[in-house]
Parts: sequence; structure tokens; C-alpha cells
Amino acid sequence: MRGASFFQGPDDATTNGREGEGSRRRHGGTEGFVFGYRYRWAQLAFVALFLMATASAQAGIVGTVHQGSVQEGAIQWRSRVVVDMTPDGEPVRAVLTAPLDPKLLTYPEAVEPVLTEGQVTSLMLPSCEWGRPGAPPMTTAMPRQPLTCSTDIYVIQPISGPRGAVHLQPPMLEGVAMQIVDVWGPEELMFIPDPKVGLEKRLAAFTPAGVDKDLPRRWDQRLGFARRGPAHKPLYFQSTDSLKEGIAGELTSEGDRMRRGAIVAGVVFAAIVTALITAFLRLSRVARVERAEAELKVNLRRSAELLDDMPVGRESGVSGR
Amino acid sequence: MHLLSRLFDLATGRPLPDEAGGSASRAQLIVAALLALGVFAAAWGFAAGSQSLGLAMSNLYKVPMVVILSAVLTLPAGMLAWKLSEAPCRGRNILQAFVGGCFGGTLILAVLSPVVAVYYQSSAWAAPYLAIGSTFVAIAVGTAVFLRASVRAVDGKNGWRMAIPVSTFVVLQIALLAQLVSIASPILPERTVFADGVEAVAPDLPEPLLPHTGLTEAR
Repeated sequence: MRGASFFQGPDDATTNGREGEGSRRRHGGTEGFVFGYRYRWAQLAFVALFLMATASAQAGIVGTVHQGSVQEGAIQWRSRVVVDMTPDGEPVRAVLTAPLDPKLLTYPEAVEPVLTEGQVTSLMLPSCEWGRPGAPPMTTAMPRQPLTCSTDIYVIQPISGPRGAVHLQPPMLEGVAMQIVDVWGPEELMFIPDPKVGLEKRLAAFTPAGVDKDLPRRWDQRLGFARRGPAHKPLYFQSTDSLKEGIAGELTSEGDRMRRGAIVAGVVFAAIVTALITAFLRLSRVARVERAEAELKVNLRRSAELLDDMPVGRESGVSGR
Repeated sequence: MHLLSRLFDLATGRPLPDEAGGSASRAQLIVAALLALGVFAAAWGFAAGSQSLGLAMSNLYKVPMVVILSAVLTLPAGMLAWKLSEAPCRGRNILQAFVGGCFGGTLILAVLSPVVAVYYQSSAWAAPYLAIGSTFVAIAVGTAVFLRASVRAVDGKNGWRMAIPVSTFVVLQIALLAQLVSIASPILPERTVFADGVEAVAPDLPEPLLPHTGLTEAR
């Protein structure tokens, strides 16, 4: 086997061991074994550099899951910011799309808010390192996707009422990070974004138009978000300028939605009953004529039968004249 | 009286005699049967809501709405299924059979409404079971009448060929009934599983709790 790869198995390494001399002569460098895998120092160094470069390029915010509980006069947001594992241990700076009143923000001790003119404009999130609370366990040997950890921050958003038009203002972050917004409340409350926001209604989510239908599932997996059921439609988008003012839409309860359906059903029902009564009255006139015609036909047939049965001539005593 | 007796003939599933008249008379009979559904359903609705006057009065409108809308909105799909499946009967025959089934079903509701009313006035636990049970009986009887009339419409020959249109009618009407009941809820004084419509079928995880412990408020 020539051109042996870095992840060759032990058997391959044994086989290659016989060709090792020739290989070393051709490419230069020395070879070694780790856990039965053969490597060349040059390849090992390249892979190590590649992994470090990849890690530093992906270091930062992966996305945020905003879960909002609607109460009488406020929405209580829990925003779970997911950050990539950073090899350098530096805190991650999360810049908010809109400044936040510090009185409405609650956060863990490890988070450091950055205030500008008395408003929170960004948050310094703790680095994602092995052993940190919320970080993946150190036993994770070969992860299928980049390792991440999360930090929860809490924001109270005052609203005028638990239903009607609303601007959702979770603590959204600048950049192209994934954002998932899920809102719930009493009476099966549901948030329906305004069409101007540009989110398309799908079977189980609202997403930007034209994105891959598999996107919600992948984002759920990446951010560790568990949906509450098919009846709930979270919002999936990337934070953009158009959403700085919040996500415009309407909070509707199950009762509101049913009421609309009931009004439509009532109007249709009234129309159907009116049409049925009108049809009945018109048909009754035609039916009377039909029945009269039918009776007339029957009478005529009987008369004709009677006439046919009557004997004609002298025997009957009836004169033909 | 003549019309009423012909309506009962319709519910038995027998083919209408020639003396029933022409196409206008048959159409009038179908329209009369659809209007009668509303009257019978209103009687049951009043009985089921008789614990409170407000509910009883609103049921006079809501239950007929549920029954008539479900029947009328089923017609287009059912008739299309009849046409596409090339069922060996005339369109008016299957229409008569379907309306006859609905008439028979709501007739059951109407005759059981005094029993439902008495139980709602005298029993705390049995009344809702009786009310819900009466609707299931009505659906079963209506389906049976429809099936029998459909098979009679083809003189018992190739009755299986009516399976597609009949099942389309039945499945669609039940689906519509379930959802219209959720729109019209409350119909019974108790909240039942039918109040949620198809949403009750979907699995629903509990809402996550938002703990506030061990956190620092912003300075």
C-alpha cells in the first residue's frame, strides 16, 4: 500500500512496515507509532496545525436559543448562548444588536457585561474550556462536530399585554450566528411573526425563505435545542439589521385562533342555511308542479285504461254516434 | 306530513318510489333532510347544555353548525370520490344515501336528547359519558344507514365497489366533525379531549422552567 494515510489501522501499519524503508527513502522524514497507528512527523505536524487553525477560526459564538415565557406584563427570556471551544481560554465577546437596560438583565457570575452610557452593549462570556461548567466532558474523544459550551442569560422584556401585537426583543447578538426564538404562555399562546419580518411559515418552524428544509433540525442539534411538539413553531434566523428593533408579530392564544375559525364557520353556516332554505322554497314550487303533472299523467293513464276496457258497439249498448 | 314520511323513508335507506316525483322533488327531499339535521342537532345541543341557560342557547346554534357544515363540506370530496372510483350507481343515489345516513344519525341524537337532559339535571358524573356516548352511537348508526343505502343503491351487486366513495364520505365527515367541535367548544359543560381537536393528538413536551437561582443582576 502506497501513500499511506494518517489514519491507517494497525494491520495496515504492519503491512506497510515492510515497505517502510522504501517509503522513507522516497519521502524523507522518520516514522513512529501511536496506539498502533503509524504516522510521519511531517504529517502529524500538519494535522496539528490544521486542527489549531480550524479551532481558532471557529472560536466564538455559534448561536443563541431564546426561550420566552409570556406572563401578564412581561416576557421572561432565557437566552442560551452557545460558544465554540476556545483553545486559548480567552473570554468571548458577544455584541448585542440593541443596547439593553441593565436592570432587566440577569446573568451568571462568570459573565461580564460591557456598559456604554449606562446600557449593556455587549457581554464578555466565559471561555469554553475543559472542566468549565456547561462544557463537554473530557471523555469526549472523537466528537462528530466542534465542541461547544453554553451560558444562560436572563432578560425581562416588559410588554403591554399577554396578547396582541408585540415586538419580541430577546438579547440578540450581532453577526451571522444562529438564532432560535421559542415563545410560550398560558392558553397555548403562540407567536406569529409579521410577514414583513421575512420569515416563512413551514410545517414545524418559521425560517427565512429559501433555506434548506433540514435547517431547523441541524440547528436544533447544533445548539442543543429540544422542541416542545409539532404544534409549536419556533423561529430560526440569523441576526440581521432588520431585526434590531425586535421581531414584529402577534401573540395569539388558542382561544383567539378558535374565535377566528368560529366566526368564519358561523358565516359559512349562515350562508349554507340561507341557501338551503331558499332552495327548499324554490324547489317546493317546482315539486308541486311535478307532482301535479305526475297526478295528471296517472289520471290520464287511468282514463285511457278505462276507455280501453269499455266495450264498443251494439253489445255494449253504447252508440258510436 | 307527506314530506316527513318520505324523510323517514330516506333514513331507512330504501330507494325512493317513482311516486316521489321527479328530480325537483328528490332535490327538495335532500334539502329538507339537511335542514332537519339542524333541528335534530339543536335538540341534542339544548339538552347537552341544559345545565346552564347560556350554554343551552348557544348550543342551539353551535351543534347544528357542526353537523350541517360537516355534512355539506364533505359533499364535494365525496362526490368526486364517487365519480373517480366509477361506483356503479347514480350520483343522486349516493347523495340520498349519505344524507339519509346523516338524517338517521341526528335522529338518534334527537331521540336521546331527553335522556341526556335528564341525566344532566340529575347526575354529576354519568351525564357527560352519556352525552359523548350518544354521539358515538349516532355516528355508528349514521354510518350503518349510509352503508346499507349505498349497497341497496347497486341492488346488492358489486357492493364492494362502493367502498371508496363511502369510506371517503365517512372519514372526511368524522375528520370535519372533530375539528368543528373544537372550534365550537364548549358544547358540553365539561372540557373534553375533543375540545382540542387534532392538537390533542400531537405530542407536547412540557414548557421549560426558567430558573433564576445563582445569578447576578447587572450592576
